[in-house]
Amino acid sequence: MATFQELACKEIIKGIEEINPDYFLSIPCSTVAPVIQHFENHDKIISFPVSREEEGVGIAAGISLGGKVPVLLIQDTGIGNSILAITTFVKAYHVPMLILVTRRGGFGEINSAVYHFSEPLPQILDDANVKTFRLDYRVPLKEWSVAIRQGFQYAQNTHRPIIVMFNIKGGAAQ
Amino acid sequence: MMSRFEALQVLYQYTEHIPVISSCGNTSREWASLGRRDNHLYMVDTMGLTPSVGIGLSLALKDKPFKKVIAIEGDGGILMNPNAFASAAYLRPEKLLLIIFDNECFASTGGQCSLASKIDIGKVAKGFDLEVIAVDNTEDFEQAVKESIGKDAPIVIHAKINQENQKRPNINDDPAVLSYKFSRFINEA
Repeated sequence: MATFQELACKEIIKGIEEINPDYFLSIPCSTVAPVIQHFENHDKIISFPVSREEEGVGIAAGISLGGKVPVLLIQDTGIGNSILAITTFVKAYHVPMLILVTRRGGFGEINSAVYHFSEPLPQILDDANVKTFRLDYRVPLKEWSVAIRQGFQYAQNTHRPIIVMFNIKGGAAQ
Repeated sequence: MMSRFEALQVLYQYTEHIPVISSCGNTSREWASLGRRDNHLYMVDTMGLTPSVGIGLSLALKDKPFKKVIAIEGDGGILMNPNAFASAAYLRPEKLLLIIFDNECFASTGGQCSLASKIDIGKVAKGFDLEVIAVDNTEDFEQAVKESIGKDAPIVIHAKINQENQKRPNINDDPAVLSYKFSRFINEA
């Protein structure tokens, strides 16, 4: 029987493919490894890794300003590395961009340090006025691809970065 | 050694139809003071991000009728985000021209010493297997700009400049307006 993680990854892939971006930029997270692997081998969407999340935000912003569509996939810790770029460039310059973010911390987390950032992150994003939609076990998996697609469209329609954040470890709300 | 403003005056002659992104602080102020253009995007903050945006833009405009996409950064900015060298080396966007103005200091904040006083940024870029043209006077800079614009490869111009600053007005526009003008120019090309 497929695990929650496997099913979630399939939904995330589906959502991204429905957007049909020109570029897929990522920094790996073990929980979404199948998603990154899928796009590494994609014949239509150009996929490449970035060295740091801030760098990914900058490159994706340039792609978007140039009239092409990027999707950036990072861990939530990467928001700490990129929040200045997200706010003072992407948001300030009204650059549409979908950023997909995997959740760290919470039940199932084995890292003893990362929760110091991951747990307060939703509050940090709210305080920075970066619009974020959160997907976890409470949202039916079949709705995840819809949310990803809608997140992309919302970024286009409102000319700003939109974060869709997902917890694919399952379990209680963080 | 040339000043940044002298170099920008040279560059301005070659960029009427080339997208240019300039880094925050005095670089964008001096650049804008030469005459605003819609194809020039002036960054007002986010130090260090200019080369990254230039890389993304170079990828997106691959098939557009621009000879080059130019990103202007300082030594302080590129050493804040040397990741851009890694991305340029990995992606090799053939339209990218990255101009690093290196005065070995943070000129916009009062001339405090930067790490570039002990680091050769050109060598760092070469270490990433990027083509680098090193210059320190306006004649060589002009030649480097002309040569780079004609080449289909990512190029770094490492331009040594003195620490002179021109006192130019702040760019206090709403960034959304700067972005709108720039995007309109790109989309109409």
